[in-house]
Amino acid sequence: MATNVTRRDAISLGLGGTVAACGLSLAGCGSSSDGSGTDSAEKSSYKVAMVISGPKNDGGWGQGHYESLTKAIESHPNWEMLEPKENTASADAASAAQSYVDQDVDLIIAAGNEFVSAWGDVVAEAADSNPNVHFLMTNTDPATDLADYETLEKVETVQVNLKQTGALAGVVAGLMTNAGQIGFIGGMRLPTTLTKYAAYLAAAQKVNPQVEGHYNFDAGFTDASFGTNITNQWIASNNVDVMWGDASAVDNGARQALEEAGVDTHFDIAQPIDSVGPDNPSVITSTVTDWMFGQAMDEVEAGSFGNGAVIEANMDNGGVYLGSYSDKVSQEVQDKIAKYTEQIKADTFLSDDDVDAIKSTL
Amino acid sequence: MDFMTALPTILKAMTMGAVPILLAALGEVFSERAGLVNIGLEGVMAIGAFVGFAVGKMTGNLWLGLVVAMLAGVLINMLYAFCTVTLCADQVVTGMAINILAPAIALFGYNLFVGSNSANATGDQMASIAIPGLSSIPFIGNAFFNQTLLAYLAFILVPLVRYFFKHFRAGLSFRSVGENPHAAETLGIDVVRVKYLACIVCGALAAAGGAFLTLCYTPIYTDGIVMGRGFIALATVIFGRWSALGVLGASLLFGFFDGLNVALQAQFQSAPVMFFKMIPYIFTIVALIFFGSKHAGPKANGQPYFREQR
Repeated sequence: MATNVTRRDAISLGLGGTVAACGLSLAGCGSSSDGSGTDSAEKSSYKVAMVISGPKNDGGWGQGHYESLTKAIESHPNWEMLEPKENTASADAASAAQSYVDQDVDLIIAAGNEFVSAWGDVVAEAADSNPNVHFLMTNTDPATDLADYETLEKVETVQVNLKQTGALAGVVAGLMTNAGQIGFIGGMRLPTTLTKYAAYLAAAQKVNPQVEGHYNFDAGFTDASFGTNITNQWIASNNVDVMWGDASAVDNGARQALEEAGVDTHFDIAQPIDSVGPDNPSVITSTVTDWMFGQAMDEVEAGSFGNGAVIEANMDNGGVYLGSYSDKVSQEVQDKIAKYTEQIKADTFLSDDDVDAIKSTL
Repeated sequence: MDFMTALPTILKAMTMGAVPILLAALGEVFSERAGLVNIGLEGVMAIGAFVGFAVGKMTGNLWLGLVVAMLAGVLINMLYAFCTVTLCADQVVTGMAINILAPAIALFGYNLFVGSNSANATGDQMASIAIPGLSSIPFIGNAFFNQTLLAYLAFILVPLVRYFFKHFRAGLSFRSVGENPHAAETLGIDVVRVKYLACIVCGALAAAGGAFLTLCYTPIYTDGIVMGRGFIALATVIFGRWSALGVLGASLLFGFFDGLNVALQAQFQSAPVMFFKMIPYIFTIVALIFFGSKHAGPKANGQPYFREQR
């Protein structure tokens, strides 16, 4: 049966299609890369680029990576940072990496292991077509996450010492809680999240055996109102007065609830950037992560980068540390934290069994 | 879980969670009463959330942020109006296009606004106003009488909308356009004008619902902050039988189940939380099964209006 297409139908069809196409393309346009694609044969200058799943200034995961890279660039003047590709969906991860490969960028960083599976083919093809390109993936365990990779010749990963990170937060929480009730929000039930929480609670109970922990590992990373609601519920029902979060925007919601409950009695420990300041009155300190991008850059320059090596960010190399304190943390408490920090650094504060005992209950 | 201990917090979460849904759903009532099923609420709310956040942060005036957010919502919804009313395009397809376009515009704007200045990442928030006496009522006082002014306005809007549709000539015009636009036209009602007016109101209210998220709930904007509330608002319109009071009840009920979900997650932390997360959505599906009858609602809902058609 023949169908008559009127001029009005044609216009509306075209307009609808245009609207959808604009929508699909606009999200990625906010901060597209403008790398020049030039490269010097002598390698007197290098280029580094990063792909992030969220914004680079989200106050959490993305910003932690961006600040780490900015810090590394400051100490490596022969390196140029291309504008990071932000808000990259998993479906766009391969094309984002490929665009940097096409520019022969020396070091391409995946901010998180969510891009690892999508990058497999890009890494394999780049090994032949662009041998100067290196890939660094953060929060990635090569034994499990990279098992399907054809080659790891130009690949390294960064892992944070989660036991140290969790223990630092736990010491602060254990010393600062008045009610003996501490909370934790994680975005996803990942093994790394469980390890962080287990170390956090174990450390808090080490300095204050009365401490009880409350957790949620499935909060996601975007719904700030969930962070507000669950923290309110913990405050009302369990008297929780210290929170530590690993869920980006959701952590902001938790801070909102803590502020409403009173910033003199309810505290937040932020991560992974130093967030103490007037914008975050409930934040008393932060567990800060430096993703050791400078070390990776040094290895690229020296030609020693690759083969699936793991760079660990820990307290010895400055990859993990406590940020500044707010005035809510007394000098006496700061001194105690300093004492415990030395023990954590020397790995004499918590045993692996302490952490595993809690982890096995989660 | 001690339910009575958790109840005040659940009720607080209920009212806070209900407000953005209520505002968007009231807008949708106007739209559907005029025969326009606008499934683009999610997108319009995203625009409202971002613009409210950004303008509130830039100017320091949160009410200006709200007003500009509503204007932005109207603007984006005019695209829907032009496609569906003037061009008679499919309303569902156009609404989906809005749902794709609008959050992308919001994210684009966010990237420009925050840029490399992370100080812009956190905005300001409206303060809660506790009504003396009433806010001290056990269990419900803090939930209902310690809210932001925008939340109070949202609840006050319910009887006003009800009165408008019941007793105003313009309200009756909306209803007649949604029931039988050709008959309405013969009575001298400008159907196209009414439909455009409905889109203006719908865009403004849905955007206000989005702005509530960033101006009253949490002082940040993130991509995906609306979290499906636009679609829930659509469901509450059906569950609420296209009436303002019904929409209020449905919004509060959804807010209650959402609050209950959080309370259960907080207290039964070793249980699989996905089960609890399903509760509000199971409620929505059940509500649609029982109340989503094809025979309910405006008769000409979702149908394009061709003036020359007989």
